[in-house]
Formats: sequence, C-alpha cells, structure tokens
Amino acid sequence: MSERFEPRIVAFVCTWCTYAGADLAGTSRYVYPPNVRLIRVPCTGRVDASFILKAFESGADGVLVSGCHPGDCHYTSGNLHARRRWNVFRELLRFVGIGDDRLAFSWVSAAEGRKFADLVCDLTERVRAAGPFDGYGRMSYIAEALAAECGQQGPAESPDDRDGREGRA
Amino acid sequence: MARIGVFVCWCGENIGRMVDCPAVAAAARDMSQVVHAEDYKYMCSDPGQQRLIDAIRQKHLTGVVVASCSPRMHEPTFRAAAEAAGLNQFMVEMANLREHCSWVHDDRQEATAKSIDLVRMMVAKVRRNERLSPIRVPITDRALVIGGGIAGIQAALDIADSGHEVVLVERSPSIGGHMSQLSETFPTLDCSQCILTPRMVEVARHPRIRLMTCTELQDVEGYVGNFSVTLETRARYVDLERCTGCGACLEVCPVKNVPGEFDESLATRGAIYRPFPQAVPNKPVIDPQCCLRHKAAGRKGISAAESNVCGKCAEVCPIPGKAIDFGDAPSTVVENFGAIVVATGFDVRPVSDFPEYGGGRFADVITGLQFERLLSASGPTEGQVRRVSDGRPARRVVLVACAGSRDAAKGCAYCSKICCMYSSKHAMLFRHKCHDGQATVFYMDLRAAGKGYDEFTRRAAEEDGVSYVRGRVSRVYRRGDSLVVCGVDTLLGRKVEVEADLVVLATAAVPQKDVRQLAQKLGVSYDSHGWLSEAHPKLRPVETATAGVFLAGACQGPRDIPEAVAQAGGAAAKAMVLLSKRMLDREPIVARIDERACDLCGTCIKVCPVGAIEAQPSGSRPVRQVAFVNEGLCIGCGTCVASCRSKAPDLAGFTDQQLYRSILATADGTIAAAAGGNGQPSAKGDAGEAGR
Amino acid sequence: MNHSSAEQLQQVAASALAVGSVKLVIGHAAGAAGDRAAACFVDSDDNVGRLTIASPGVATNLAVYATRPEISHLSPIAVVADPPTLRALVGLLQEGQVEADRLRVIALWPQTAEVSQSPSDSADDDAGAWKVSGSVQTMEQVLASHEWVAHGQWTAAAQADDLVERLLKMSDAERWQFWSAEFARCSRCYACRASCPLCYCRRCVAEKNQPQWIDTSATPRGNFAWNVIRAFHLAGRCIDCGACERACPQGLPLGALNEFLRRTVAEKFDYRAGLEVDSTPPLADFRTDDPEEFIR
Repeated sequence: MSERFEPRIVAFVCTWCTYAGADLAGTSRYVYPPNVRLIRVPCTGRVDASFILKAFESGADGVLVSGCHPGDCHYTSGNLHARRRWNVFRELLRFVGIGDDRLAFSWVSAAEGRKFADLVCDLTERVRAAGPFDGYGRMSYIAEALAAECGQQGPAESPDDRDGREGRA
Repeated sequence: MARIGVFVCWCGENIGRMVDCPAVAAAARDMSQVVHAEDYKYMCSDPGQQRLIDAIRQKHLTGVVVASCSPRMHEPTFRAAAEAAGLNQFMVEMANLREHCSWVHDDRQEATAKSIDLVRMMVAKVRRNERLSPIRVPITDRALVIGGGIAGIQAALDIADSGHEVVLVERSPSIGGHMSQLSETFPTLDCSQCILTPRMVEVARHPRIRLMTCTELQDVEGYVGNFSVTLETRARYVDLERCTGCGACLEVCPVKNVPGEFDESLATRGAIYRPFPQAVPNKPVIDPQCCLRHKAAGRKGISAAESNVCGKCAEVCPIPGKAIDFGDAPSTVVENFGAIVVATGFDVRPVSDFPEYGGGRFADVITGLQFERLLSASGPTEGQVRRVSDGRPARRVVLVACAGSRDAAKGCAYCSKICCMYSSKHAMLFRHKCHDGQATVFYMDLRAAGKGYDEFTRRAAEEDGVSYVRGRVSRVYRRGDSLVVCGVDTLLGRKVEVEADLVVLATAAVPQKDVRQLAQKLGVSYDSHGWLSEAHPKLRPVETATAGVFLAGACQGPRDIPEAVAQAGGAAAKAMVLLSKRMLDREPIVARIDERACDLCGTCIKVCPVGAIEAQPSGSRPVRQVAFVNEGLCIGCGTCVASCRSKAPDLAGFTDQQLYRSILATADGTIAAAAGGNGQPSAKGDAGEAGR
Repeated sequence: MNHSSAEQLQQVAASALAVGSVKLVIGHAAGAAGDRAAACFVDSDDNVGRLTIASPGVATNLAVYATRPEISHLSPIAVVADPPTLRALVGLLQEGQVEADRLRVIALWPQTAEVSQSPSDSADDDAGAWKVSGSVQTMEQVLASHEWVAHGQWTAAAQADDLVERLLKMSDAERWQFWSAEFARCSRCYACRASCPLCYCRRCVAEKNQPQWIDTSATPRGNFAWNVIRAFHLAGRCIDCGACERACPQGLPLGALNEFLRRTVAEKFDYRAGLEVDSTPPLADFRTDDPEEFIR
C-alpha cells in the first residue's frame, strides 16, 4: 500500500515582501498544502546559513528562503547580500549532498499572493518526490558502522538528536 | 520561568470555520511554560482585548501569543493592550492562523494541526523575547523639498507656513516647473502664470524657505528625522546677491540661437539668458555649453575667468564690481533635514518617439507642451497660433490624444491622465483665438473624470465647435504644404483624413529620466516606468517605504494641477506631523554587537545598508577597536548578524535565540492533522506517519 | 633543506634584528622532525641559527602567528613568508587583523618557474629551491614586486581537483554518503581551525552556546555542521595554503571543500582571495547583477 508522504518544510521569509505575499495569498483564498512553516525575519539578509542547517537537523525535509525582489528590499540591499550568500551556500550544500530538491530560494513580493501559493504547491510536491530527508539518520548509521570497523565506540547522541527524531518516530 | 498566555481568536467564522480553536487552546495548555490559554470569538474586539488584559494581570503573564490574523494587521492592537496591562509590548508575538492557515487550507484537521504548530513556534519564540524600549531620537526641525514645480512650491509653502524651516532645491535656474509653461488651465481657463507667479514670489520671499536653484541632490545619509543630504549647486556665473536682474547683459550676448528650454525649442535664447520673464529668482544665468568665452577657455584648457574672449555681458553689467562671475564654480553643501518631500515631476515624451505621426520629420508635428507655448500670450508667437515650419497662421489643428499612452508596445501601458483634458483645452483655446479655425481631437476614450471636467469637454464639443473623432491615428503625411492625418473613426467605422497646419501629439507623460538614481539614493522604490512608489496605494499614498520621505505631484504618476497641489499639501502635512515632534520613537528592532566576540574584521561595516556600524574603542580592557552599531541609524535588517562569522551582533526582536527556538519548535509537530494532538488520526495523518 | 637559502634567511633576519628594524622574526625552526615543522620566534640576532626553510609539505602557515595577542607588544614583526603565507597576510590586512605598519616579511620565492607551476611536485621535493628576498620588506613592497606577480598564486596545497571532479559527477545521495563517511571521522580537535590563518575569530561560532548552532560533541550532525560552516566561513577568504588539511589528524579531505568553494567564488564573482589588500571579500559585497538563476 503506497501512502502519501507529507514533507515538512521550513521557510524563512522576510516580513516586508514574502510574509506579506503569503498574507495576500490568504486574503485571496488561494488554497495550498499545509506543509510549510513560516519563520518571519525582517529581511533575507538576516537568514544565516546556520538556520538552514538547523532546520534540516530539526527534521525539515525541505527549506525555503524567500524575500523581496532585487530593487524592492525594504533595507535596499539586504536581499542582495543574501543572494550572494545563497549563491555560495547552495553550491556548498549541493556539494555535500543536499540538493535543489530540498532547498529553494525565491523572490515573492507583497503583491504576489498567487506566486506564493504556487511556490508552496510546487515545493511541497518537489520535496514529497524527494522523500523524507533521513540524511542525518543515515549519517549516524555510517558513523556507527565506521566506529565498529575501528573497534571504537559509536558516537554518542546529543539530546538534540533525540528531540529531532521524536516527532518523526 | 516564563509565564506564557496563549489567546486563540476565532475571528468569527474566518478562523473558527477551518480551525478547531478550542483544540488549539487545549494543545497550547500542554506546551512548556504556558500557564494560560483560551479561545475567543474576536480577540481584537474591546471585550477580547479586555480578556487579554485581565489574563496578563491575574496570571502575571510574562509573554503573550495571540493566535489570530497577520501581525501586519493587529500587532499594534495587541501590543497596546499588553502595555495597558503593564506588560512590555515586545513580549507579544502573533501566530498567523488566518491569512497563513484558515484562509488557505481546506481540511479542518490539517489546518488545526498546523495552527497548533504555529502556536508552538511562537510560544518557543516568545519565551526568548526580551523587554525592549522604543529608541528616542531627536528630530531635525527642517524639511527638504526636491523640485520646484507646483507640487514642490505648494509643499514648501505649507511646511514653512506651519513654522518649520524648508530648503527648496530646484535643478533648473528657476522654480515654476511645467506649470509655468502652460497657457491657461482646465477646466476654468485661468491663466497659469497668473495663478502660479504669486506663489513663486511667495517662495522667494518666505522667511523660512531657502531656495536653491541650479541645485541637485548628490547623496543622502541618515534616516527619518535625521537625514544628512549633500546638495550640489552648479555654477551660475551670475552672482545672485549682486545682480539686480536689469537685463543689460541679455541684449549684448552675441550668441542668439540657442534653443530655449522654456519655450520648448520654439524660440531661441542667448548664452546668458533669463529662464523666462517671471522666473524666480529673476536673474540671468550663463550656459557654459554655449558661451563663447567658456567654449574658448575649454579649448585652451583654462578657466573662463582667465580667458579674455568676448565678455560683453560683464562689460555692460552696470553693477559696481560686476555681477557676472566667470570664475564661479560648483559648490556642495551638506545640510541636515528631518523630512524630505520628493516633487520631481514628470516630462513628456519627445515627438521624435513617434515617427509614424511624422514626429521629428515634420516641424509642424509638436508636443502638447509646445502647443501650450504657442497658445501662451508670453510665448514665442505672443499667443498667435502659427505654424512652426513657416510661421503662417494655423487654421487647422489636429490634436492626437494617447500618443504613446495606454500603448504597451510604446512602453507606456498606463493612461497619462491629463491628455484628454488638455487636448480639449487646446482645441477650445485654439477655437477662441481662431474663430474660423478647425480643431479636431482624435481620442481613444474621453476621460474627463473630475470636478467640472466632463462639462468642460462637452462645452468644447457643443459650444466651441471642436470636432472629436474617436479612433487612433494611423499615420501623418505631407500633402503640399499641409499635413494629412489619417485615422479611423471607430464610431462611424470608416477611415478619415483630416488636413492640418499643426498636429499636436499629447505624448505620454513619463518620469524625469534620471529619477531612478535619485530614488535609489533616497531608498524609494519605483515601478517599471520609473514612477515613484507610495508606501501603500490606498492608505499611505504620500508616504514611501523609507520613513520620512514623502511624495508630492507627478513624480508618483501622471496627475493634473489640483491633484498635485492636494497631494503636495498631504505630503506637507505628513512632514509637519513628523517635524512637530521633538523626539521620534523608533522601533527598537536594532542590532547590537557583543564586543567581546568582535574582531573588527569589517564585514558588518561593509554589509550594513545604511552605514550604521563603525569602529569604536571597546568598553573592555585592554581597549581595542570593535564594531559598534549606532542605534539611531540602524534600520534592523539583520544583515550584519547573518554575515558575522563569530556571531558577535544580534538583532533585538529577532535574536538568534528566538529564531533558534522557532526552528527547533518546527520539529515537534506533525504535518498531517491527526497526529497533531487529540489522538484522532485521519487517513491522511496515518499516511504522513507511515511515510516517515 | 636548502642550506644556502637557510643561511641567507638567517643573515637577513640577523641584520634586521641587530639594527632593531624588526623586533621579532617568525619562522620555521631547524631540526624539526617528522611530518610537522614547528614555528619559532626569534627576537635576537644571536638566535637566528634556529631559523630554517621548511619543506612545503610539512610547513604550517606562519601567518597564523601574526595575529597572536601574546606578541602584540612587539612591533614591527617579520614573518618568513612563502606565497601562501603572503596571501594569508594579504587576507589579514584586508580584514584589519594586523596593521600594515607593524608587519614586515622575509619573502620566500620558489626559485624556478617549474616549482611555481607544479606545486604538488615541490611539496615532495625536500630540496625545494627557494630564493630568499635580500632584505626585510613591507607588504606593500612585496605586493609591488615582480616576484609577486610571477609567484603570488603558488601553492603547496595538495591538489584537490581530482576529488572535486569525482564528487561533482556523483549524485546528491552519493555525495552525502561520501561526506558522511569523511565527517564521521572528525574528532572535533579543531586543528583545522588552529592551523588556518584566516580562522582568527576570538570566539569561534562553534563555541557560542546561546544558542548552540553547532553541536560541540563529535556527533554526526555536529560534525557535519562544523565542517560545512567552517568551509562556508572561508568561502572567498581561503587562500589555498593547505594547512588545514595537513593539520587534520584524521586526514579529512578539507582541501576538496575549499577548492570547490574557491571555484564557485571565482566563477560567480570573479574573485580570488589573498591577492589584493583593497578588495572586498565577496561575501561582504554584492553586485546588482549577481547570478540568480537558481532563485525563482
């Protein structure tokens, strides 16, 4: 029996454009899947690379970062600094094995309610197709296997590890 | 221990229909450090707010999560309620159950589960919130108005009349703008000069207005209440203090053939010229591009002061010590302002953009603005409508509305708004001057919405014998010494050809060509055409996204004089509201830097969009240089926080702790409804679990 | 060991210390055995005999010591600097971590074009031929020299191109597998950090615990976060000396991460770290036309 996997997606959105765009999607009653959890920040410039890693560590199957279109940034250039950062960090994550099927970047303006809804629909389907992100689980397995090979003790789990898995048990 | 209260709002049916609000409140009661949770029909109503206030007082809440609509809607409401109950307003967070949940999902269980997640994330965040106090910054009681057209003039006068200092900058040598070029104004047919000139003079004489002509804005630093603006004044080569405006110099200038800006190139001027007879300041100016002495000096690579070419204007200047100053040089000043009004106005597209209408090929195809000059009693023909090509009286005039406007193919999809009215006015004025003349207006729709406007266009058609042809002009060609305008009369469904002595194109209104650079300096956004964007199209029509910068007149989009004046008054009022306070309370959402962790690598200084960060000596010993955020300048974007490798900065209101906890809280819920808490798994919920 | 070069280095150091034009020379110590070359700090011309030229294959990047608070009272200081060390010093000057007035160098240049062009060979070549600059110089002088133009980009880092290419051909899952296995060995000793001249933060983000973005224990997710964030923090700043990889006791292929990011930054922003003091590091900068094909 094939059952549908419901991915969990964490989105970091700027308050001026994408959060407002999501508000407009609501005002316009565009229906989209309930898989995304929005975390509001003032500007995409505020979004640290660590946020993305921590979201994956916390069990996210996908991460979205979305802000104002270039030229629209409430703070003039926060989104342009963010764009530089994602240019590099996205490549780095791909290089270590987290690809575009789990990590998305977009510009959604306060007027683009439709775009926001479409984005969430597409992203949910994309991450659903990619399946659950069990990378950290596999990683622990590899680590334990390696440790066993070397006759060492497997790496201890931190409390966060346990927390992270609880929800997915 | 934090004591958190959660208030779940039904928003009537809006949330309650799709989200099981009592279940959300029940789930919230189980969340760590939540000591109170309730649901209510309308949290934002007075009784709803009172429930919040009572709960804060009775249960000694240290943090509040209101789960209702978007914080963009009611955050101020609930913050104020919290303050009323004695809780710091920044201890309030909102979970958006309406716009982000009930309105966009169609499964009640899913929506309820998501709502619980959203509440959990906000509870996790608010536990890390800190009490913050608004930042108080002093306000410079002085306004800058950019642009000396009617909008800028009106804004400057209104602000100055209310007792505040104003600097009005205008880049051309005189204020007055396009309105000073107009002949008469619709729908009353007042003489434009007659109503404008007194206001221009008032500006010049006003004790609290400093007028700076030939001046442009070079740079802007600072923020609302405290802008620091660099203004650059071009050399005028005429000392405004000394010159009496006698005009002796104008007579002797050997250069005579420079196309005059004021007359839209229909007349010529000298190298030293008075912009127009009623100019303010009413003093000449030398155009170094045309002046023989400047050109000669330029060729030799010396300054005009060192040259001995020509100099006739200086010779005849009757002022002791001479008002002509060939050694004049550009100057820059830095001035401080609390508010800025942008009134840079519009321009019209040149006829050369319309070769299909003969623009640029036939001298008798002109813009509406040029026709204004032909109609004007002070114009190059003293108000007689003559052909540009040969100066013969024009008997047949064709006016083409929507030349470029409402035409995406021409790059201006918008309506220029003023053309229907001024083309009718042109036709009417022409008929007044030339009783046996023939005036034809080609139009797409006659848009005459405005007080007395429709009556005006009717009068043109019914009393003044203007003939209106509904249809587009396809082309204009020459036949003999006349022009022939070909078009289609779409009401009669047939082709028409009209002979004309003059073809007046109501070319599309466009923003000033370099307004984008200005907007970027000011942090004001603009649309794809370059019209400046208001903060909100309905509720904040004269404000911009940059606090303290306001819009007046046609820089925002095409508009007529009464609208521009009304908007200028609105912008002035907004500026006055700001300037009337001594201190400004700013949201304390600002970055601060933990100097113990700072190595002054300079990254934050480089990424800060407003230059709010600078190196300063540390407070610790040994004293060393560390990065320091100027709270007054910081706009709270948080780019420095994310850019810092050692995480020395943090952003109040959106701290690392708050966001970290929010991220972790996303882990605890489940996506599908059933697993969400009440132990009633749905089919979908099971699938979600199994999928993992 | 190239004796004549080492003697020349000692002479240059001795004469500068003797006249007091520098107060301290930071170099590699003679007699260091095994696969690590120790640094030595010479503050008198009597002790210059300790100085030698270490083989690139075992050398630490001496620029690490230029920012140490323990020697902050000494000025000027001279660093014995091969091209990677010079690039690191450029990076430190660029980020204001050392004052140009306080910094002198005794530059070491690979003597032949061959060395310059095939750095991996020279790493093995113990007799690597070095030309010692005739005097103690300021960075300004060095960066204006023709040797800098010719050899400025020379490196002794183990070349990671093959590994990068191999990884790029893999699927995301395979890459995850590869790095999971590598990072699993990480013991979080932070030798990579200690050996890196650009990892100068007085409080590393790994040590920030309110909140703790990077798990401190050597768990898989902590190791992953540490190695990814470390590499990211050096994006556009890594000057390709290879010290981190040489320092890693577990032999993690850190050079591949660095090399990949170096390529990324070069392709996207046309930037190479460590070449110009006045340039802005790419992640502290932006252009309005930066690539955004991945942003929808």
